[in-house]
Amino acid sequence: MKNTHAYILATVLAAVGTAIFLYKWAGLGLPLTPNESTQTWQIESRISFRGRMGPIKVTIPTPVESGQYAVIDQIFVAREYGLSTQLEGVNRRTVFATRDAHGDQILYARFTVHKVPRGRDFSPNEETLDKPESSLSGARRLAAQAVLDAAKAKSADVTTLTLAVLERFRRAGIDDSVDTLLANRSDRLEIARAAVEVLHLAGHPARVVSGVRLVPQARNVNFVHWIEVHFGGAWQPFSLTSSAPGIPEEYFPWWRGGAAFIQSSMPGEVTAMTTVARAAETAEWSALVPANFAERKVLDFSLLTLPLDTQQVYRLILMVPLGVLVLVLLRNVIGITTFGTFMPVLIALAFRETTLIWGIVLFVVVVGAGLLVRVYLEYLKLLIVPRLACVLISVILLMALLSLLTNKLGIDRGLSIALFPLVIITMTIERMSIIWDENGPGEAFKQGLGSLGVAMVCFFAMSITYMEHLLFFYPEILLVVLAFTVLLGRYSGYRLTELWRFRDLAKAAG
Amino acid sequence: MLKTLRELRRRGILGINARNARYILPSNARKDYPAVDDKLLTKQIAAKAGLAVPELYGVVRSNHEIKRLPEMLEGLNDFVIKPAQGSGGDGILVVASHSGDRFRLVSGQIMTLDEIGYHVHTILAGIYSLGGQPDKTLIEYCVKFDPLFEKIAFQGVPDVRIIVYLGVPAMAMVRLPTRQSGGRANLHQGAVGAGIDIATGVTLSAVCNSRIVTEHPDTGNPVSGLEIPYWEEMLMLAARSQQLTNLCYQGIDIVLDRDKGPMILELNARPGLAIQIANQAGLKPRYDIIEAHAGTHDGDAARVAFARERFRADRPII
Repeated sequence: MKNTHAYILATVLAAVGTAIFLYKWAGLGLPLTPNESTQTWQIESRISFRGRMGPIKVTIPTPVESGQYAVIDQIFVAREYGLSTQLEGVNRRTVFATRDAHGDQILYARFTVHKVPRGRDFSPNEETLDKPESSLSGARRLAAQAVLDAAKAKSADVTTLTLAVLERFRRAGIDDSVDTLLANRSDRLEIARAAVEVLHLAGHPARVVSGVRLVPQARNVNFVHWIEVHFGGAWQPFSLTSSAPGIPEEYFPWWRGGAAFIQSSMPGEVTAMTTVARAAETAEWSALVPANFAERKVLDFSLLTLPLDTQQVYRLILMVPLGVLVLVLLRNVIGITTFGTFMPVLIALAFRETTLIWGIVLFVVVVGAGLLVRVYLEYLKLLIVPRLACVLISVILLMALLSLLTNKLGIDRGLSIALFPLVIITMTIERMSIIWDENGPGEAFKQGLGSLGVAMVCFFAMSITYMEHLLFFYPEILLVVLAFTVLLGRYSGYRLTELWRFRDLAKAAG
Repeated sequence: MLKTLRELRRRGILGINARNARYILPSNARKDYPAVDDKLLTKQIAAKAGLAVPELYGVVRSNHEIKRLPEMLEGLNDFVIKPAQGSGGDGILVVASHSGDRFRLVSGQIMTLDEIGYHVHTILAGIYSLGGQPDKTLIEYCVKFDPLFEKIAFQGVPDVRIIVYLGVPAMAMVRLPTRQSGGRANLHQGAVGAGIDIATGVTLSAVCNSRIVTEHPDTGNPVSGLEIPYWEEMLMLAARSQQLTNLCYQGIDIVLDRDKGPMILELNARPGLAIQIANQAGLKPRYDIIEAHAGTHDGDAARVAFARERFRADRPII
C-alpha cells in the first residue's frame, strides 16, 4: 500500500532526474568534468549604494588587454543608468551615471578574461616618458631619501635598486624612515604608493598597479597591489612580497596609478564586492550552439545565467542535500543520535569556511565555554527565554573574544568563527546541559561527540569538488537524491546500532 | 555481525525503523496523539470511561498561578509534580513528605518552596515537553506501591508496561527503578525491566541497560518468578485502552497501588523496544498473529483471553 506509492514516487523522481541528466550529457554534449585546462576567468563586481534624490555618477576602472591577459567580453547590468567611458591617464574608466537614483542601487560589471600564450608582452600607452618629479616634501621627502640611499648602497642597476627599496619596506615597524614614509599605515596599497615615491625620487618612472588574483573560485576578493618600473624600454612588474623581479602569473592587472577602485559623487558610500571564478565549464557551456528552440531553452534555464556571486552561493546550497542524505543515512540506518535534526549539516556548512580542524577546535571551545555559562545561569534560576537569550549573548561575546585573540596571535582562521550558526550553537548548549542534568555527563558527551562526528562526515560529503561541479551543472541530480531520501523514509530494517543493542537476544537463542 | 542480523530477524525482533514505518505510522493517526502526549487529557479521558487513575490534586497552567502553589500543596504530605507533556520521565519530582517550606524528595534531596516554584516554571516553559511547546504542570497523587515490589525496587514507583496492538495485549514487563535511574521507571535511564508472561502474570528474566539480567542491580534480589497481582484486571485495562485513544499501537503504563489497586498512569504512542530483551522474545511474530486474527474477537475479554492463550512464555512462538 504505502510502500508501493513510495516506490512509484521514487522511481518517477529518479527517472525524471536521470532523463534530464542524460539529455544534457549525451544529447547536448555537456561535459561531466570541469575542464581544468581552460584559461578563462570571469571577474564580476557588484556595486551597491543607497541612492539619494538627485544625480549620481560612479566610475570603476575597465580592464584592458595587457601582458598575458586579453579581455574578451564585458557586460554591465545597470538599468536606468547611462554608460560611458572616460580616459584617465593610462586607465579607462566606465562611468555609470543617472539623473535620479533613490533607494538601494545595485550595478553589476562582469569582465571575461582569457589568458593568452606567453610571449605577447604588451603594456598600454608605450610612449617616451619624462623623468618623474617627486611630489614629496618635508620630513617624508627626507625619509624617502634615507630609504633610497640605503637601497642604492646595495644595488647596481634599476632592478636591484627596486628590489632593495621593496626589501626595506618589508621592515615596516623596525625601520624609522620607512615608518615615517608610511605614516604608520601599512596596507599593501600604501606600501606600493610609498615605494613609487622613492623610485620617483631616484628619477625612475614607476607606478602602482592594482588587480585581482585569478583563482578558481573566490567571493569578495581583496585587490592585490604591485608596482611597475619603466626601464629598458618597457614597464617591468615587481611584486611587493617577492625578492625576485616579476609577479605571480595569476596576478591580473586591472588599473594603474594607485587610485581607488570606485570613484563617485558620493565618496565613501559606494561599496563593491568582487567575485572571481574560473570559467572552466562556462566556456564550453557558452560554446554550445543551440540547434533548436528546446535546446536553447535548456541552456537558458541554467544556473550559469545568474550573477556570479549568486552562482557561488548556489554551488554551496546545492551541496546541502548531499549532506542531508548522509545525515539521514547516519541517523536512520546507522542509528547515531545527534542534537537537533539538521544541526550537524549546519555545523558542516560552517566547517567549509573554517576548515575542518579549526572548525572542530572552535566548536568545542565555544560549546564548552557556553556550557560553563549555562551551568552558572542554572544556579541563578533564571526564566527560560531570558536564560536562552543570556546563553546566546554569551556565545556571541565568546566568538568575538576568540576572533580577537586569534587575530592577535596572527591566526586568521580564527576569524571565520563568525560563520558558525549562532542559534544552533545556543540550542546545542541548552540541549546538552539538559541531557547532562537528566541523564548524566556520559550521555551528554556521547550525543555531543555523535553530533560532531556526523558533522564531520557531512562535511566530507559536502566537500567533494567533483560533486559540486556535477550538481551545479546538473541540478536535476537532486531529484535522484530526493528519490533516495523517499526510499530511506520507508526503510524498516535494523539500524546498525540496534545489532549492538539487541546483541543479548541474538546470543540467548544461539 | 551478519550472524547477529540473521538471528535477530529469525526471532522477529522489531527495530525502531520497522516499529515506526510498519506499526506506528500506519496505525496511529496524528490527531489522536494529544490524548496520550498530554497526560492531563489522558487522565480526563480515562476517568470519564470509569477507569482508575491517580487522583489529580491540581494543575498549574501559567506562571502567575505559581503563586498559588502553597495553597495547592496545603495539606498534602506526599505528591508528584510532573509535566503534562513530558517524555521519558523527565521533569518529574516525587515529594515524599513536606513540612512548611521544605520538601523532601524520595531521593532524599530537600527542596524549598521557591525551588519547587522554579521547577514548575521550567515545566511551563516547555523544557521537558515534546517539541518544546509551553506545557502544563500536574500535581497528583503519589502512588503507594504494593509491598510486593519492595525487594526489587530502589526508591520510586515500579509500573507495569503493556504494549497493546489492535486492542490485544502483545507483550508486558514490570519496570523497576534503580539507583542509576534516580527512582524513575524508564529503561533508558537505567531502570530494570522484567518481562511478564502474558498467560500467567509471572515475571521472567529482565533487562537493564540493554543487557539480560536476572536480579535487581541495587538490591541483588532475583526479579523472576514474581506473580503480579490483579493480572487479569491489568490486561483488561490494556485491552480497553484502545477505545480510549483510538491509537491502534500504544503502550499503557499501569501502577499498582497498595490501597487502590491498578491505576492507569499514562499511555504512550511510541513505546520502547527494550521490552523484547526483557521477555527474550520478538514483537513481530506476536503482531503477525494479532493481525492474522484481527476482527475475530468479540469484546475486551475475548481479546485478553486470546492473548493469554497465544502468548505463553512456556510455548514460545519462535
